[in-house]
Amino acid sequence: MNSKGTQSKEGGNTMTLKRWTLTMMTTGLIGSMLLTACSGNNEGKSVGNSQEGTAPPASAGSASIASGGDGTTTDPTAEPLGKYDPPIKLTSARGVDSTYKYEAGDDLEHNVWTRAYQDDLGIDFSYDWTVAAAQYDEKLNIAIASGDLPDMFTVNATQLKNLVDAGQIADLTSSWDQYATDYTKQIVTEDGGHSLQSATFNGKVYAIPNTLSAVDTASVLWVRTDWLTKLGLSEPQSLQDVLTIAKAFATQDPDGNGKQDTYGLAVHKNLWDGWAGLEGFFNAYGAYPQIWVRDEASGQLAFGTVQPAMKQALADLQNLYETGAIDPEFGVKDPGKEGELADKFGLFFGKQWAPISPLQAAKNLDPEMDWKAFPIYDLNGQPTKSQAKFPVQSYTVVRKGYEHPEAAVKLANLFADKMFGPDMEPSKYGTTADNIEVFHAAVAQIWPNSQNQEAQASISAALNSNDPSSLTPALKSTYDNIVKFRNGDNSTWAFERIFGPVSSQSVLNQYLEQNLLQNNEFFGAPTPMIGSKQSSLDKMTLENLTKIIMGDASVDDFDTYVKNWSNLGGADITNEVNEWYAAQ
Amino acid sequence: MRSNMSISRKLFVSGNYVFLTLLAVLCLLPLVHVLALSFSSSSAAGTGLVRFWPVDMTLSSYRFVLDKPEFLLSMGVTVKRVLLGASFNMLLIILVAYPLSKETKAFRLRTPLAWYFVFTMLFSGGLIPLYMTVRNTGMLDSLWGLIFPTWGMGTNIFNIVLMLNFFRGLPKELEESGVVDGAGHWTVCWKIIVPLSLPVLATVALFTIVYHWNSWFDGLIFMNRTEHYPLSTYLQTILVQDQLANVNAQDLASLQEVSDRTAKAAQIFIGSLPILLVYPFLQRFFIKGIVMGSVKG
Repeated sequence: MNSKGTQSKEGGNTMTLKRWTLTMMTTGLIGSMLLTACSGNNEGKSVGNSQEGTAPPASAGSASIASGGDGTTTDPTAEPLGKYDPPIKLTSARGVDSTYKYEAGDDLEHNVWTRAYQDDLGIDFSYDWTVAAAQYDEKLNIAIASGDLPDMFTVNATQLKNLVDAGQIADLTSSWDQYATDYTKQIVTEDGGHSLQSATFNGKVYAIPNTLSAVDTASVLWVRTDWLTKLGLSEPQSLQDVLTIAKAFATQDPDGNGKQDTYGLAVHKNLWDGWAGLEGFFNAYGAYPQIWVRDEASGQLAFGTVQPAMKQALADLQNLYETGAIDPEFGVKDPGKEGELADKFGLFFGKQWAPISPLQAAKNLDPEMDWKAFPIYDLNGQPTKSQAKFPVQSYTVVRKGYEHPEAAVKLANLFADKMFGPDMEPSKYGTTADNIEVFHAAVAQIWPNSQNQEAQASISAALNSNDPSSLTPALKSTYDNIVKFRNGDNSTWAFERIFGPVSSQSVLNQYLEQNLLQNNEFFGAPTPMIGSKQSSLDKMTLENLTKIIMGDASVDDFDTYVKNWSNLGGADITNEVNEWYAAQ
Repeated sequence: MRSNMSISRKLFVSGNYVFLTLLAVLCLLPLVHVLALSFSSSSAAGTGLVRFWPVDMTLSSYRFVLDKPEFLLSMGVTVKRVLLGASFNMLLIILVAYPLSKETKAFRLRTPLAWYFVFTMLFSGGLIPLYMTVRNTGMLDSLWGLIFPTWGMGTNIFNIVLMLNFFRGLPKELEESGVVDGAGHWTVCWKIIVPLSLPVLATVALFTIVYHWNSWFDGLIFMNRTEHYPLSTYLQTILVQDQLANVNAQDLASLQEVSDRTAKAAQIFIGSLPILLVYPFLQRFFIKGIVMGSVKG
């Protein structure tokens, strides 16, 4: 019986050979595609603008029709916070973080925010897909290229430009003008309108900029104060003091264990960003690496990394490295790895949050350890401007063809309103009494610039008066943490150093008051040359600067590097950026 | 035999042993470090005190991980995926390798078909067409999206070549003896060829199992919910994080988790344990020469 069945199968084989081949071909094709999936890391990145016309078919004209398309009554709907009746459907996509917490029984799609969208705005909100935050861009690029877009989603500057060029997203100009509340407009244009300008192409607004605080990205100087006391040094008044202290920390055995195992200045292999970037160090010399600043002599924008002011700073870094004040292995350590030395170095230029990570872990083991934040001074002790990042790192956009593009503006209104506006209920929508950060679940988030500095001011005031009654739950929990530390619990030390009376936030407050921030003057969409050259130029920069700091190249090699930078595309980028600047 | 070795030969052999031992130690040390981290307290790990032995020995990371719903969910997805995916791939590999192992006389399209398969190893449609295929066949966000598309992976073609070469090496007489007794191709394949090919089956099974266990990128692009991620995708997302370039104070909570090295180490270790255990069990099939002496005369 068995053999009979086999025979008939064989007979059929030649007959259906053609079909079989076809099937095999399809299978093979799928296979070969998956092959690239494995190595598809880079492919996904540049496909954004190649798929014009693949956007879901819909009447293009409907993009700017504000309301009334489906017979809804215009009146309540047309309000900035008006409710849709009947409710509309809105799908989105987002990156999630495993640290997001929700109230009991809630999840990403069912929480205070989605209920507010439903009840207050009549928006039936759901996610087409979610992905781990670090992979959001990759996944979105695939969705963009295959034309499979959610109704509303978040993009970065490059994706925004590509989507605008490909005509895949809706023009939000009229929605913005008509629906944004004054308060929303105030938050978004707080920085002089640059944020909104970066979302505007040919005079049309295509996105809501998700503003963050620029000042929070500036560097402060962190110094280990218990070592200062131990070595009988005074607090730094100028960069010259900082250099002296760094060398003293490395050579005079501040931890008293009789070994040469301490360092002055913490540096990691990325040089920029992370808890100990070198931006602040260079800022002290009037150099502003990796951002565009206006050159007063020519009136043109210039890239900070290749300016002559860098040279003196590099020479001093080289000198620090030579004297052993910098970890000799910094060139291979990422910020996390360098952070493991938190009990071995005594100085760094870093972010306001550094006490949380990596300092707190070291503090837990060594209760004697203490740090203090200082503003950045130049060599003569004058305050110097610290560089800040552009406050918009992502944009909320609406796909072309979605019937209610203004819904995105309404969602931003709602966020501003519930979080900071006249109707704010931060304990319900921001951080709950149980210290659950429910605001993560919101979409179209817009944050005001000086949020944290105001928080620091009110927490300090409450600490002075011993009266936390006026604080919101989020601030109250920080307040409690500081009180806990003051009563002897070292595990909450970091909060005192960030939000206490003398803290990183108080230094940032000083920056705001004395106008000590240097913003990136270029905030347009990435130019074509930036798209094609920037990453290789950045790599070259990193290699060259690291070599100079480690003494493998002399400081004069900086000039060669600048020449190479210019020849390898830097000059073209500068031209493009200045064309953009002239058009502003 | 040992006494026959010349001095230089002895030096060479012992040099080899020393070199290979060092190499093995080099490969093991990172694993030992991760294991030590997973048993250490997080303060010790955060300040870099842990080398190859746990500091402040604790099981808290393991307790934390085993209580973590995401980890267990993704573990479940991976187990399902490995069981279904590996058996599916094995079945198809055998079914393709068998006809392709025949001579051109017996199967006229053998050569073009073989080239067709090799072609797919070298060229592909790319990521976007693949994504659209998976989407249009409704496999997005389902377990099948992790199973069916993997069939065409380059490694599978490689496995086919491996298997068909083994099939070819089997004595032709065995097959002929079956045909004389009235067996068709189906019977020959499953009753004669496959039982004789345990070594290559074990090898290929190991390859496909490891492939399914490790692959993370398809989980990332085909799954629309993080709770549908297989283990490797999940691990990838917790280990590869942003360089914290744009951290605002509202992200303080995530910052605190970043320094959680011990929990990560525990997850890496639990995640790789099952696949490590597969090796010794498959090893006993790596026996050579079982067909020796099966053909007489």
